[in-house]
Amino acid sequence: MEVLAETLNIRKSYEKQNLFSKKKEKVPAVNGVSLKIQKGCSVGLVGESGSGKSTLGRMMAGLETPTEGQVLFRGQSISNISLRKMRPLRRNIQMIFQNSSSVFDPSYTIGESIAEVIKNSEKVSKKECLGKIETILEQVGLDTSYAQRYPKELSGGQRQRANIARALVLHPEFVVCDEPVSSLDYSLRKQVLTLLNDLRNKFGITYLFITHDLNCVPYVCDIMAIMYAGKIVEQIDLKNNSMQNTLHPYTSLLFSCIPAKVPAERKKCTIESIIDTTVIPDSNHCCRFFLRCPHYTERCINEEPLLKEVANGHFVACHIV
Amino acid sequence: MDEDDEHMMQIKIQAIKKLNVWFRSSNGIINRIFTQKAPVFGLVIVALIIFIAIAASVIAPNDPLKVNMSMRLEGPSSLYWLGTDNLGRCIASRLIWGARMSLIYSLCVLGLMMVISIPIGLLSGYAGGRVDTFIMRVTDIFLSLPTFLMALAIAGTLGPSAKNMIIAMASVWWSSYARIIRGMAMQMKQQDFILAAKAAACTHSQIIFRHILRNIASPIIIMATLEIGSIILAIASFSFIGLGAQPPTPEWGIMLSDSKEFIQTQPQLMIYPGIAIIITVMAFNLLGEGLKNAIQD
Amino acid sequence: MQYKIDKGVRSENVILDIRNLSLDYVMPDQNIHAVIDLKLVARMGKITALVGESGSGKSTVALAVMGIQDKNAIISNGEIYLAGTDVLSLPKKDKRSYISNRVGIIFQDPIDSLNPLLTIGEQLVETVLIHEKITKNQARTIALNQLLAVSLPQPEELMKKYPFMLSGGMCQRVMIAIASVFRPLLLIADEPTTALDVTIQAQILHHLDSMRKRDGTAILLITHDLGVVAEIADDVCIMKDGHIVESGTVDDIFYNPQHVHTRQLLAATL
Ligand SMILES: Nc1ncnc2c1ncn2[C@@H]1O[C@H](COP(=O)(O)OP(=O)(O)OP(=O)(O)O)[C@@H](O)[C@H]1O
Ligand SMILES: Nc1ncnc2c1ncn2[C@@H]1O[C@H](COP(=O)(O)OP(=O)(O)O)[C@@H](O)[C@H]1O
Ligand code: SF4
Ligand SMILES: [Mg+2]
Ligand SMILES: [Mg+2]
Repeated sequence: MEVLAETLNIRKSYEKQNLFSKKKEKVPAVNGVSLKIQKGCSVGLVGESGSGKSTLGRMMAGLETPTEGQVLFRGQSISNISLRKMRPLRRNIQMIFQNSSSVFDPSYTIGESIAEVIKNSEKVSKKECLGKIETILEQVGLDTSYAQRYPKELSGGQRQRANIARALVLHPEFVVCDEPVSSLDYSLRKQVLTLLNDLRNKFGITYLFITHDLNCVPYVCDIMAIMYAGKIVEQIDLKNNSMQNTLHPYTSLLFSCIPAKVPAERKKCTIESIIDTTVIPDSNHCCRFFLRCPHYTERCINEEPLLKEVANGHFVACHIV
Repeated sequence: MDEDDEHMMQIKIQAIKKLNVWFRSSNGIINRIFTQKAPVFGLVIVALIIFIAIAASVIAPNDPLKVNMSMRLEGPSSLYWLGTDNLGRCIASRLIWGARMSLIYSLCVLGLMMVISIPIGLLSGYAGGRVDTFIMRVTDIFLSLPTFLMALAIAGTLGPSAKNMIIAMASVWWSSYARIIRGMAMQMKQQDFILAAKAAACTHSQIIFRHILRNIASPIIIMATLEIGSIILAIASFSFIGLGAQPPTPEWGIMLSDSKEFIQTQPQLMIYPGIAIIITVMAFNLLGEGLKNAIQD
Repeated sequence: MQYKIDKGVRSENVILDIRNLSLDYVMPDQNIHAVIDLKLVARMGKITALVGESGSGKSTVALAVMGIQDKNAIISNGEIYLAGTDVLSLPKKDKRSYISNRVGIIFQDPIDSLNPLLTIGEQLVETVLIHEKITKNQARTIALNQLLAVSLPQPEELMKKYPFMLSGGMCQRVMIAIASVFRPLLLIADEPTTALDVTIQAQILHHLDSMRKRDGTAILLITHDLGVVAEIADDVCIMKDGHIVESGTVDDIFYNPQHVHTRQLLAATL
């Protein structure tokens, strides 16, 4: 199968100004990720907030420059090229942003914002452009009259649909979806996931689907990757393996936090390992999860676990598996 | 009890923040300006002044420059509404023409200032890095100069004239504007929709002009409105000390200056232009404040 | 002054009893009926979930109970019995202190709900001092214990920090600490976990759960997430367009839903 997008051991750290002293702290957001995304094989990226999902997504969408490593799109490096060189690639790489309330320029209508994407990538007449906007709005389930509205005049759910429409209007090959449903109502959530799935089947779009909700993953993804503290700790091919077969203690923790579906499935809240999510050992010579891991051993403190294949298409980075 | 109230107020403020989405739709900016009295008052006066300035040649009862030595220091009459000055010129006509001159001069200063500061501020804020550091050092130099003295020096060396006064004021005052605009551009640059614009394949110039400038345009306009008052005041002061517009131009500062000698015997000569200046400055400030409040949530 | 008091309410451990509440938002062109004839009961030590889609009027109810509804809101009908007294019948000056001494509230957006200019410590101590006549040092001790109770690490350090230095989950736990510091009879949690991720959600739910067990607080939990409801709620009210369309125990709602809308909501869970 053809590799669409690929990262080669990318890292990104942000400089954070310490409030009380002059020196700048380096915050590593992504810490050495190699990920291959094949055409037609969408990847779900799951992790807690702050684990670096959005940063990885922005780099794969060519919107941020990695501090180290390369991002390739169809074999061509996109990690360090100018806006102008990036332009022709844009129609095939798009991004649905996390925060739909701030990703639309408040001084333009939804229609104008979508038209901008079209006009920047294609020579089209005004009428064709309008036609495209109406088609995509209908496809995401919005009335065409919403094109004349300003972003603040839409409710959260509607804005998120417009956000999706803008990213998908050109039928790109690769779309980074950054928590597209997290801000949505439960009933809308299912609708939007179904929509993303339909569009994928219709136009052959490949997604990098970022979420912190494990429940969403099987709806749109073929591969699930679990991210913790800037690293992928588990990657599992959902076509050959069941989602329940995951092995990493962090993945188990994420599963155990999903609320019950019905009252009978209630668990006695076990939160021992949930606490202290803010403290992450900043070292490359230990497992970054060991402070929260119920199974940690001596080895975990002295040696960093690497991703190894435990079954066909199933990789785990943990010493005890 | 008071503290209790404060606690509730805080909760309430937060709640209102949550709900101000609705406020925005039902209470547009226009609505909000008109619910306040002071800014409307300011707007009315400003509109009146602009009208007077435009229609000066029609409204003014006499030629503002015509000297009539036989009619010196007359009291008000049906021909000379406010009387005449020490050279027998019609005070009312000079005041009316003065409005026109004040507005023209201040708009020139403002325009020139904007032409310099907007591109520089935008560039500095958007480019960041070394470009920004360099530009900011330069503006620092300008900012550290005492504005008035500097403008005095320029007007002094280039010679006193209205044109030189405008150049002097603009070339000194642009720097603080450039700084503010840079700040706004930097803030805009961090907004998510700029990232979205990049994803939409916009070029840098499209981002700067379509997205950043468009969004900071209204604060810039407000800033300008707030500034017109002080510019008018500065222009009058320059003319008063003889470095701005030159006599016999009908200008409020010059009228003040001309009436210096008669402050004991004919105080009204000084009071009329003084009142004109105060009213104009206040009207622009009221309007600017109102605009500012209306735009902020 | 004669307040409306209902003694019967008091005996059955009912903390909040909303009866036939109707609330309209007055707009220039129309009136929006945001809450219509709403009945809701929250009992001591129980979690009552108010569930509905966005725009169904859930937050409006919360604001009305707190007495901080918007200026353009008019309560056209109904009573809100809080600890046996109808707060709508209280005179304005008593109302505020009556409510704020008995009800705590946490909002959906944790970072927005804290004062950005004060440290966490200052805000907590201030809240303690408002409700109790004690010295500053005593208040500090209470505040520290409070932060420990919501399992925030290094509370001493945390007291010195400003809200923007904390993550969303930490802010929300600080909000719970602040809202529970004076042991309110009722805690209103308006979508407390919607903006947070699953692990932190589990934590927050745990703290709400321990709060009602420890202090016997009645909790009104506003949410659109039926998973959260299934996890910790005791009673559930399903709201749609300002009406309560169905209410009952959590088992009734999940295993024997009566109303179409309830079934729709249940079907929409992933
Ligand atoms: N522009 C930035 N400047 C400084 N630090 C940043 C920036 N963007 C992200 N970070 C930091 O990098 C880390 C990873 O951030 P990222 O936003 O990618 O996480 P995430 O998994 O998407 O979380 P969330 O679910 O909250 O969006 C965090 O510690 C964050 O504080
Ligand atoms: N201040 C207000 N002015 C006008 N309409 C309002 C106001 N506050 C809420 N509404 C309307 O009341 C309804 C319920 O809103 P809300 O209580 O926020 O619901 P939820 O919490 O379920 O999202 C919505 O239709 C909303 O538009
Ligand atoms: S390597 Fe050790 S500490 Fe890390 S997840 Fe595995 S068992 Fe836990
Ligand atoms: Mg994110
Ligand atoms: Mg709400």
